Amino acid sequence: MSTSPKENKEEWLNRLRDSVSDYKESVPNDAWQKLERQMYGGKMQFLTRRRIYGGISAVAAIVIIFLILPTFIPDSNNKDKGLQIAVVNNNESVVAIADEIKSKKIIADSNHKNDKRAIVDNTGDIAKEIEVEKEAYNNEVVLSYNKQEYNKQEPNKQEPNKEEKIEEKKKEKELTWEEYLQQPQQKENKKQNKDGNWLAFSVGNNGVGTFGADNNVKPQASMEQSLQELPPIDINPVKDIVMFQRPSFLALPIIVEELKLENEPEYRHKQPLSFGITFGKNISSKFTVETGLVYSLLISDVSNLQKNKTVTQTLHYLGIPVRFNWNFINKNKYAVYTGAGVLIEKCIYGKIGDEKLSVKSVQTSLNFNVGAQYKFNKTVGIYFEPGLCYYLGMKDNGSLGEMKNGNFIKSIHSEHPFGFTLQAGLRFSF
Amino acid sequence: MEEQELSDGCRNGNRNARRILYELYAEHMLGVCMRYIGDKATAQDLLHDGFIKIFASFDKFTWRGAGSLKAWLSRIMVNMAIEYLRKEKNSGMLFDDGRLILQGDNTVKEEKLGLYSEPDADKINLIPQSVIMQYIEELPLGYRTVFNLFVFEKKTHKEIADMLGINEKSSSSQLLRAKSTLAKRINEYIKDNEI
Repeated sequence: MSTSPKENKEEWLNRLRDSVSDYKESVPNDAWQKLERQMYGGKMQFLTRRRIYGGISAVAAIVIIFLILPTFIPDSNNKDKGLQIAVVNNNESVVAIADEIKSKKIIADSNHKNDKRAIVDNTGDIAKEIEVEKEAYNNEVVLSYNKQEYNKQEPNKQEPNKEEKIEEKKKEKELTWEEYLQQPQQKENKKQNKDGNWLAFSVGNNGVGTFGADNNVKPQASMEQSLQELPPIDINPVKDIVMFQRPSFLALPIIVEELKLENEPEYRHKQPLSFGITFGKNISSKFTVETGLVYSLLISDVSNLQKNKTVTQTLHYLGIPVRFNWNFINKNKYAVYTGAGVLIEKCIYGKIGDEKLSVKSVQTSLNFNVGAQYKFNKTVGIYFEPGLCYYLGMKDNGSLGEMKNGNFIKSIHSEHPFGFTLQAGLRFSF
Repeated sequence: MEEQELSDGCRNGNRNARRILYELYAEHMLGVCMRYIGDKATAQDLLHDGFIKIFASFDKFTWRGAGSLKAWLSRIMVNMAIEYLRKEKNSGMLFDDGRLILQGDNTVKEEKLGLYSEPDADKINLIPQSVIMQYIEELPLGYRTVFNLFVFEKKTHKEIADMLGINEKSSSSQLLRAKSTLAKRINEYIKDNEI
């Protein structure tokens, strides 16, 4: 052995060159056919074509995701749209109006067997009477424009009270109903369709009422005509008040927020983020099978759980994905791919405010992603993947389980099984 | 079909001649691409585009005796590979600030690099071709490119520097590191396999 490397004069290098100078690498069977097709079919060069097609595919996939996405994500502002129920007693007085869709329960009802229920939709176009089945519902919910104030009142104060004040949230200006009724035109359309779930009934009385589900208290309102015959109703949500334009009609002030069950928490979910360590096996230059570990963080702001306070719920999930990817661009350092697979996740830690949450169930989701990867070397790369997910087996009430106080635990996936995911991470390819 | 006859056929756009040329040389040319690129999928694409170029520029080829056709084909493939690497360089992927990224162990001083043990030349022939190819393919990109151009294409450091847009000193340094890395791996192989 020598220790003086004179460039290009070392014999070992000459031998090395001779050894591999006639090296052959096997060519794919269809390589000539592809070449022939291109030469005689007028196609563009392979690398150029691959770049162009890959770019088009990536753009198309991303556009499709963003086009399809909104159809899968329920609009939280409109989640209360749908049929609603009013309860009408023997005197054809509206006893209560309930929001069936929101809580999955009829939250205002009557104990009288002969009472009727009427179904109306949000536009007020359709009205239909249905028979009340005798069911024991909690009648505590009071429909009032100011529930907190109202709840403090004694039942004998539940007659229409002309001096009741209306809170205007922003201006904090207080108006009586009389004052309010005198100036409906000024306030018309001010907040038209603000929430999309306003509901109103026309009844033949000029009185203004609040009602309770307590059957001893009957609003001074009777049905002027059957609900089927009602003309389309104009709804003028002003602030949180529903009004009829026809002066002979009774205005039923209902604050929709108050229609919810007391203490039912309201969730506002943030976009979940995931981080993954992925191990991929290249089964060909185009296809990869992979698995690994995915950590997901689900954050939601929860209101109405504690008085006047919004608390944060965090759920930490660890999951195992199994996925199949198609790398439609696989350059030296970059790869763009699309893939589909299954992710099985378990909540490893959860907290709402200061209280620990225990979510026992394992959740399974189907995932479709488009991803881009930057490879540091042949083995290690970082990736970023937006995608769509669908969570299987979620309950109808959108809950993951119950808290100690009986409230439901909810997450973005339990309430909206179809969703959008963002994942980044490290990928090890073999 | 003789080499000259084959090249004439290809020049005239004879489909059969082109197919025969491809069948005769594609595997060897893919080996050349692999030596430069190290990634099979890219090497295959390069082979494809390389042959398109070969068939399109056959009128520039002049037959100068046995082996001249293969040498010409190889030269086109090498140029394609270098062009590809240069494009990658322009996209900022393979090179850094006009210089080849010095991958691998850069902490070793060059004086020490010169002190590597040269493998026994007689034993090189006993090492499988695929093993040596693998060692070359696994060299860091900068080392591998300079090594290929210097050892296989017999380019000078000045020519390499011009081709890659680096300076001569950098080329020479990359070669030294490539040789040191290869020698170390080959010596290990010889030792491990008791050749």
